[in-house]
Amino acid sequence: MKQPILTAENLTIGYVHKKAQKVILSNLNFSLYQGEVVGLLGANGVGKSTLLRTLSGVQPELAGTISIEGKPLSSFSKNELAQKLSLVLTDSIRQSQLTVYDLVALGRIPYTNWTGHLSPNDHQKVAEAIALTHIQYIQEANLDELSDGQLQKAMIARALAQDGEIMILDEPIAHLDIPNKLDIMKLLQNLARTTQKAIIIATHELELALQMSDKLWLLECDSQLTVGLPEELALKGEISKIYGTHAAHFDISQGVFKLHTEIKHHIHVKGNSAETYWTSRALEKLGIGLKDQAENSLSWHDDRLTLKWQGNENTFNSLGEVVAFLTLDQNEKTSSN
Amino acid sequence: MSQKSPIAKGKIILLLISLVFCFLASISVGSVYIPFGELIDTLLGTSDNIAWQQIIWQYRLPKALSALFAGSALAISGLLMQTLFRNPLAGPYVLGISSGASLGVALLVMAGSMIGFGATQISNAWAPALAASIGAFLVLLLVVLIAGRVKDSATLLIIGLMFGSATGAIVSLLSYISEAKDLQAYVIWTLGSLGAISYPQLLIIIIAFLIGISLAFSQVKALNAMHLGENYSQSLGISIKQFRLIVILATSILAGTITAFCGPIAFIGIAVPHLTRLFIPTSDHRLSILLCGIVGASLLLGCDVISQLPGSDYTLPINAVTSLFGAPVVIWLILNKKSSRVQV
Repeated sequence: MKQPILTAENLTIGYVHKKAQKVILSNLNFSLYQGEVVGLLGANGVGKSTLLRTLSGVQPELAGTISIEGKPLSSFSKNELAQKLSLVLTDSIRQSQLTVYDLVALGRIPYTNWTGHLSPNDHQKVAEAIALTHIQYIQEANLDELSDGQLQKAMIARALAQDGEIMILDEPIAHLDIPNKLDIMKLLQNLARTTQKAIIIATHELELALQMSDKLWLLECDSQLTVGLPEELALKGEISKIYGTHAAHFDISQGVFKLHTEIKHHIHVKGNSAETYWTSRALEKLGIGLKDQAENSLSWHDDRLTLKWQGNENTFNSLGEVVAFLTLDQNEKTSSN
Repeated sequence: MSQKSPIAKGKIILLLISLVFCFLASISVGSVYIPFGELIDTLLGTSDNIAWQQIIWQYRLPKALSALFAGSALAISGLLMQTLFRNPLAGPYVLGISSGASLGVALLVMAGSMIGFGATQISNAWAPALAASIGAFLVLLLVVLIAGRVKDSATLLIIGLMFGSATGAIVSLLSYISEAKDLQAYVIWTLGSLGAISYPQLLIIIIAFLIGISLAFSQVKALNAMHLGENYSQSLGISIKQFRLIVILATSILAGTITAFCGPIAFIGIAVPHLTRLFIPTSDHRLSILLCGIVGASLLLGCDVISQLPGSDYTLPINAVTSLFGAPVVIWLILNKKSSRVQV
């Protein structure tokens, strides 16, 4: 059995304001293991940031204990903690004149003497971090010349150079385009495997988190932290519970969020699986659900589509034409009513 | 940090040469013309012109040295404040040091004369310095007390500005009710002067300078980490409260002492860090503290030369010269840099 690198027992987190405690979450129990990617999910305002700030020692715990390698968090000096745990935050750092190499080298601060002089070993760690994140090609570039994706990789390299066992990232892919989101998440997953660091990623990217995490920590408002295998939590309906709103729900069968739509008609779609899937998505917006043996049907052929709709049969050249026809049909009914 | 390129080394040597040049220029100009050869002879002690010896050793050298240390100290405190607040508009006076000092002097000169002493005191180099120090120290004390309680530095910046407004208001009230000659004496102090300093005051300036610089250097790691902001610095094991306190202390000692003896010299503190960065871009404070010190000293010495109005008997107030000649130079440099970047 692997020893956990970080454990929390009966942890209560929150703020102290004017000697009054404001509890955000209480009675949290969890463990974090080496080489593990944890996705921390929770709706806005449930206390994700508070939990991360407490774990990183910025904010004291109100009750219970957090321990790193069996030692209580409070027994670590600031510098010792910095050698165990590194952060990637959402804070902007654009305005400075740092090069990527300088930035990554700042991660060595907990290890250097008071002048901040880098030893050959420090330089080696910096070079390793840069190599692991594949940013050698921009290491001499200034930060203001980088794209958002490159900057985020540089920030991850900086956290790597800090060389702690735990890395915590707050919304690392929030403002990136999809290829960069995937790139960063894949990078983090690989880093966890190759460096055996434990990586906690707080994110709203549920679908990516489901794909990339070894474990999910789900935070619910005024409730427990639910820990488990992502797939298992999805099956048990835990994800629907925390993210379900009056406008949308988590579709367990497909692993995606869907807007609630009222199904008024049913249709039987005949085609290959991709055709059927995308057709169903288009028709759902119109309140038409898929059902085998329905009266209405839509068949895909090589160059056209045949629609049987309420007794009439029509042929169309594209899905767009079908949707236009059905929209018109529904609008006429609404206005005649 | 990244390897210093040979170009940077060349530029540093260039800066040092210009510092020496500005220092010599500052000593050579004045209301009495002294040939350069004689000047060097006097400095080396091989001249026998008693009058020139007197002028150079008792007047020009202490003035040049005070310009050197004042320029250096103000530039470094400006850099410290810009780094602490991560704000390019911060300068040595954002914490209210000059406001406190001004209030001290205003009380001495204007309120003091109402109860029977004052205006005559301004001619004594120690009295306004003492009043300014007390004023600056009291403001500093308040700031430090508050710094321990606030969470982020931006709040501190606003509080510093509020102190400035409040003390400014008291000074306005005093000026409104005081006599013309007292008011004039106060205004002259605010214009700044490098000439009122002799060796005993210079000694105090140098001691304060060394203490301030040592405190600043003790924080180089934290200053570098501040490129990433307070949250990241904390995650790198730095105690923000301790760092903030030491930096405030260093700035107050550096800028406070200079303000006490030379008056509130504007512009150098805000502009020099920018000029230095334009000339040698570095993110390492071990280097930028030194560079700002050199550039600040050269700039104030240069301004001192201009304020002598070479070839005339008049001396312009140093504060007016720094802003009048410095501001266009900085604007030109920044615009020039920007346009060249667009062309690339």
